[in-house]
Amino acid sequence: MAEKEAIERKLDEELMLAALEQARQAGADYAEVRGLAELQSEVRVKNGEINKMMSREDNGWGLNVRIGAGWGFASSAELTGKSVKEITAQAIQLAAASARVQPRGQAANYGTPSTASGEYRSPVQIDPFRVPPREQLEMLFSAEANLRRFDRVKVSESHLQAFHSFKFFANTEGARQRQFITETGGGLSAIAVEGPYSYQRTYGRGGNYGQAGYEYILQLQLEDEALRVGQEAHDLVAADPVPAGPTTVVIGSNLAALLVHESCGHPTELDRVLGSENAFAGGSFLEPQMRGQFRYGSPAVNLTADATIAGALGTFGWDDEGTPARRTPLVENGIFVGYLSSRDTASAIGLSASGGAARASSWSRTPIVRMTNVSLEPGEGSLESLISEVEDGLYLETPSSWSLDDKRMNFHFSAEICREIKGGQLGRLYKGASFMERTPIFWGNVKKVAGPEEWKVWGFLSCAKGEPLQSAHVAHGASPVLVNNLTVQREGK
Amino acid sequence: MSEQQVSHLFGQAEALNRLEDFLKLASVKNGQVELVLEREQVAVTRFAHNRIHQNVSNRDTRLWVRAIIGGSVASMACNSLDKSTVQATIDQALKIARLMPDRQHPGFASDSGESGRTPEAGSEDLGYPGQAQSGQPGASFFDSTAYQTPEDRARTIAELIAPVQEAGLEGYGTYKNTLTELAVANTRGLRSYAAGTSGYLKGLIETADGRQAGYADQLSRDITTLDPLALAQTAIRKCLLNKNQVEIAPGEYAAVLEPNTVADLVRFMVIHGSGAQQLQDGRSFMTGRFGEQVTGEHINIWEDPASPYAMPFPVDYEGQQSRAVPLVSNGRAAGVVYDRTTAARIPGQVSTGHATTPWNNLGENNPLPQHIVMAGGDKSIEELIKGMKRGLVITRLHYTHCPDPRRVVATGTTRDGTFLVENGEIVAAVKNMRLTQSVLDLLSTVEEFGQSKTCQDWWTANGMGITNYYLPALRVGRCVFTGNTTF
Repeated sequence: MAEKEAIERKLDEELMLAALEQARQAGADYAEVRGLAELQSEVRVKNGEINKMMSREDNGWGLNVRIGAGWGFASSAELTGKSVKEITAQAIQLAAASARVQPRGQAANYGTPSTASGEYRSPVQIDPFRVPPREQLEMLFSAEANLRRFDRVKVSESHLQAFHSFKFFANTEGARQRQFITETGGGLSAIAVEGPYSYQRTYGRGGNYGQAGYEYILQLQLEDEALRVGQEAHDLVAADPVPAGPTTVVIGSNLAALLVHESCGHPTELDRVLGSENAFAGGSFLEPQMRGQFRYGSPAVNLTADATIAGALGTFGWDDEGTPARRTPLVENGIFVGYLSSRDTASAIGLSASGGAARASSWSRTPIVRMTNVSLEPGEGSLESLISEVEDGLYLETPSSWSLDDKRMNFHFSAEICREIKGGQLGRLYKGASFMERTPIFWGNVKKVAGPEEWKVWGFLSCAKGEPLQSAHVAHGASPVLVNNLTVQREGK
Repeated sequence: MSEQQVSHLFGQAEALNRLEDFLKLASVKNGQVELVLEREQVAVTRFAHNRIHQNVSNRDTRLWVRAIIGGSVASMACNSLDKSTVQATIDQALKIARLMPDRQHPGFASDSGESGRTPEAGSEDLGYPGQAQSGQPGASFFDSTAYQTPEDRARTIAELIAPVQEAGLEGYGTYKNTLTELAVANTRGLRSYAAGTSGYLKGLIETADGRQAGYADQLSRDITTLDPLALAQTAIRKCLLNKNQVEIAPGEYAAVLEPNTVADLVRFMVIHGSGAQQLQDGRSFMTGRFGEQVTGEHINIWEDPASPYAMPFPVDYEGQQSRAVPLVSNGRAAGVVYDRTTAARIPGQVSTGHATTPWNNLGENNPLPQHIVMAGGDKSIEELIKGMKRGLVITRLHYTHCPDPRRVVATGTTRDGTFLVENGEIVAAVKNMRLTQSVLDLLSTVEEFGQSKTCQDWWTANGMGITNYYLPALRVGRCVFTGNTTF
């Protein structure tokens, strides 16, 4: 048997299995245990100084039990014989208390059992935790200095992050799963100030991240990208405000990725549809009876949840209920066809199996329905070909702010950068572009999606949902999109 | 929580003794080490469709190690207090700090009382109402909250749900209990400790078809002040009133903004404008404007960590005593909050005791106000409505954002009760609207102040922020709605 990695030794699997057994003996109808050992590092350089140099180790485990229709989840950073007894007793106590506040005849169905066992490892070429801090700092200082080459840039920042985790999952149905995942990424931000105006330009808003080693950070080419980002920030703050009014727009892949996240990913989360998130994140306008019939977008719009995309943040071997990773169509040729689902939510609407989208962001959280890699499938043609089709319009790239109603119907986005399109060519810069639309109208006005050569996967580190809050790592593939008849508004900036 | 769960906290003596022992592990000749220990027990019970569907409890320990060598600082964190793990964490922090280029870090404090407040140039004469009569600081820890059990929480939710079921409605919501302790110690001699509790109860009540909704919430460090029945009655009343919603055209309306709505708007003045980092980055609405009028002249907003109504807590994550700071005084830009790093950049400035949690995963750790108080009045919501000829009542907002931080432009949609008022009476429920407006402009049209409430903005209430508020309902003369939605 191969020697265990250092991170595996942070979790005693035998003790976690003992918790399962104790839960069963204490009367649990079902129990699952999840241990997570995680290393995280973050380095930020700002205005010529180190702003943050942090490494963090976070280990713990949690036990989820069901008694009848009552669920209880307890977790702890301590994993000892004593804490196993205490946490198991707590989980049982919580499940018993839950069982007391249930409508008469509440179903206790937990859907299709998860029985798979095995191991998953994300691909890594260069271990990010073995790259000397000085090397990381040199790269970040160089990138940050490139941002500051431009006069109007007053605040400049570069950063990188790395995560490495080991997760152990077991349940009373027999599943035993072990997953090793490494994630890395980084980003840039330049704030240009002139007079009363300030304008931020970033690389991918929060940066970009993937399941990979340090090689991913090198591929981001932050030092080169900084010259572009700094120049654009410098130019934007002095640009004219965008002309407001209805127009044709081309939306770049990073902004398209967040539009997919907010206006497709979230409303297709089945727990939202069923009400579990009503009091916080909100519900959804995509009700179950609309499946297979409702026109969500134009025929050019195809959206998919796919937890098997190599190197993407939302990829895994099994979700946190032990369901194998899978690919699920959400919108086909513009028609809404599917949901992101978990075992109980899938069962609640009569699906044959979970969609494999139950995820817990930490050892201290219970799984809820999350996005995996929810992507806009590519169409045909290059970004240039989309732009060439526009006689008079705008190109919008990178989200600056976003706000949606509680059913994900009405949204408001603003873009960091906007360029005029005249006669099929990109023209002058504008600042302060925003737009508001209703989800099916926006996607219904999509005329074209660019092809696979423009398709890029964007990894987001902070998709927030659930109580206590769970900040999930998700990803979205998207190509640029040509949208007709979008009313662009002007923000002050 | 059960007594067993309360025992998860160390208490002051043990927490500081442990840190004392850990500091002995630090072999520092030319540097400094600071340890930040946080222990936490969080229990969250959620309900939907009148049933508890999620019931969770989490206990965690976090140790943050900051090491300074020369002017360079490095941080390492772990969540185990095992001696060998702590030793390795301290050693690694020192090792990285030695490797790093010099950075002008001000060093650690030697005493928790080094914080204070130095007025900004241009706002020396500005304060906040009641500044001279500061009384006893509010308590941050209550046994009543600390000893809540799963059965207690289930009972509270059952009490909330009972009238909901009786009315044939569906209840959704959360009951959250938090128990936390924070200890800071360093090699310069600083020793600091505080513990806190909180109880947060919210209820969203809907009709079975989901077309009508009403909402209410309550927040307190002492759960004996929570009243689930009153909460349910408020939300039920609002839900029943919220029927046959009409769609009205976007545009400018007078409005009565309930305190939850005001919190979501004032939040952007706080996070984008009231911390020293935003000021120093040139992004704050106060940049270059201290002493100038930024809102209507009757607006007073200040940070008061001792206010018993604003979830008081006495110290920050650098172990410094948190001080009261006027932010907007009679409508004029008055001040921002500092931690030690941002204060060190300004000659004569000191930390106001507002270093934020280093466990923030959202990027930078900047000083921020966390206990916002806004001067209010004594009128009820109903009395504010009576004074409005035509306008809207806004219960709360959802998923607000700030497309223009410098002008503090907020955008967000209304939810769970938006009503049209004519001649002082509610005449119709309204489909949800999108509000988009500069908060500074909006606060320049306040006509009347209502009663205040302890609350959190939507982001903090849901774990994505750290600011608590005690602020009033407002009647404003001009509220700008830029769109609407279908429900």
